[in-house]
Amino acid sequence: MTRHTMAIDLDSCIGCHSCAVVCKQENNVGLGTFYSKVLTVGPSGTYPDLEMYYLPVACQHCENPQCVSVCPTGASYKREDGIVLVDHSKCVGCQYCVMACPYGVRTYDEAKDKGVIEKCTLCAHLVDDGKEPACVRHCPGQARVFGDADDPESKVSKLVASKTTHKLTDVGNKPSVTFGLDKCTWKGGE
Amino acid sequence: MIMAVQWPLLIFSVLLGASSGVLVFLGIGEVKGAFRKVRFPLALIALILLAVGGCASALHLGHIDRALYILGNPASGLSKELFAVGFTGLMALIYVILSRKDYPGPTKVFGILAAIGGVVLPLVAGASYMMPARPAWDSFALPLMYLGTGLGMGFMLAAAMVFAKGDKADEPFALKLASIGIVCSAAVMLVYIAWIAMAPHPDPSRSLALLAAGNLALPFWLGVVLFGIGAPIALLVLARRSFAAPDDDVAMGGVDAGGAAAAAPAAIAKLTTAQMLWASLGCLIVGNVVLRIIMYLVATSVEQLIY
Repeated sequence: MTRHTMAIDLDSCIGCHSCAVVCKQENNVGLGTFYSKVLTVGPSGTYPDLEMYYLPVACQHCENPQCVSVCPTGASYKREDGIVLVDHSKCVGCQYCVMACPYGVRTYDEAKDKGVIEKCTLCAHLVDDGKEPACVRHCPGQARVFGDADDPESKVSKLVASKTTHKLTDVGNKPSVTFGLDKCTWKGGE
Repeated sequence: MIMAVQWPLLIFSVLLGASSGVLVFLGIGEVKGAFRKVRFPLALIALILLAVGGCASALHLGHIDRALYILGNPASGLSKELFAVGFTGLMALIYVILSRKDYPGPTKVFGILAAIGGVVLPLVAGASYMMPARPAWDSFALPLMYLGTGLGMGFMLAAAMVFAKGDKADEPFALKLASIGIVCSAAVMLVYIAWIAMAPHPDPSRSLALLAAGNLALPFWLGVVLFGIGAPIALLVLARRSFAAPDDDVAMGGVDAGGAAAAAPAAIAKLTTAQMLWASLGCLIVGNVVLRIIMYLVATSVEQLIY
């Protein structure tokens, strides 16, 4: 069964924020709203042994998404291929999914489509067209890869197999996005 | 990042708590055959509180026009909450109608059904906030806090009404229930504060230190400890003493004897028992509002990355 997800090689991420910019362009994300951001982690350590890395974050398209469990209308849903989406025609804007998301990657957007929740769609419209998400396609460091986590030959599986991998703090939601990091010490929860 | 206080939900939770407490009070009265004289106005008050609270909560929605979509996922906490509001509201409405006239059997049945709704509703409403992403909410201590504080406010409101408009013979029992309610309220407040201190994924943004000596120290000590716990209990103690010996300023004398009233203004001692109960209710409402403000402000996520 196909399980679409993303893996990000943090050793290759140069913190250029191209992914955040192209995401806004591709998805027409409103002013002040982000589906994806790049955080700077560090610097940490003691001079001269300092280290720092960039952490691109967006919806983690969890295996057990809490946002879907708490959604009272069924607007938040998970597709069979693992992508978590919001059906805006069903969303009442109660914001319970925003509260239930452990990562603060959902936002209540009054500006664009008033009164509904916005988030990363993993560019489902492109994926359905056989393409990769915009952030993957435009990453100059080729840090982001997209594919089927259940296919050992996919780019995602190969990256995961080749690196020391980490995930964001899991409180039972099982985030699907994997971060590869060998050159620095992972500072996130796990 | 700190979560903004969700005022419509906060107002809803306070009003539904008070409404539920009143319904439980009346349900107990139905079982014991008490509070006949005030059951209609009290049931009506409970229904109005629930309706106003429900309207307030709808203001939280981005799309009020789609409010009934909330029944779309019965497994979600919010859908269960709406079902519980509907059940309790319907039982309260029937009870209001029946209590206007004297239909002993049906009135008792629907009084008890409304009381069951009054117990279940705060639990369901509180449980809808239990999310692993928000450690300060993810405990049964939260729905318990909703229930216990609701009993505190509702019992106090109902007891004050009994003293203001009710039968003299019901006053001792009403005072007893108000005492039980306030003990429940204080206990669950303390349990919830203890949970904030013990919650998993500890972080300064949801710690006891933040409440005791940090940015939330003033609302915590003044709002929760003084107004939510200390003052209502002190006023209830004074009310009980005033009720036990109404004619000779026993309230003030009793307090002086106990030492606790050294700081109590003389004006408080001159209040009637009913006035003391109303004052206690006022303090409880302030305490409950502040506790819920704190509840939102400590509800930081395990990893708040973008927003």
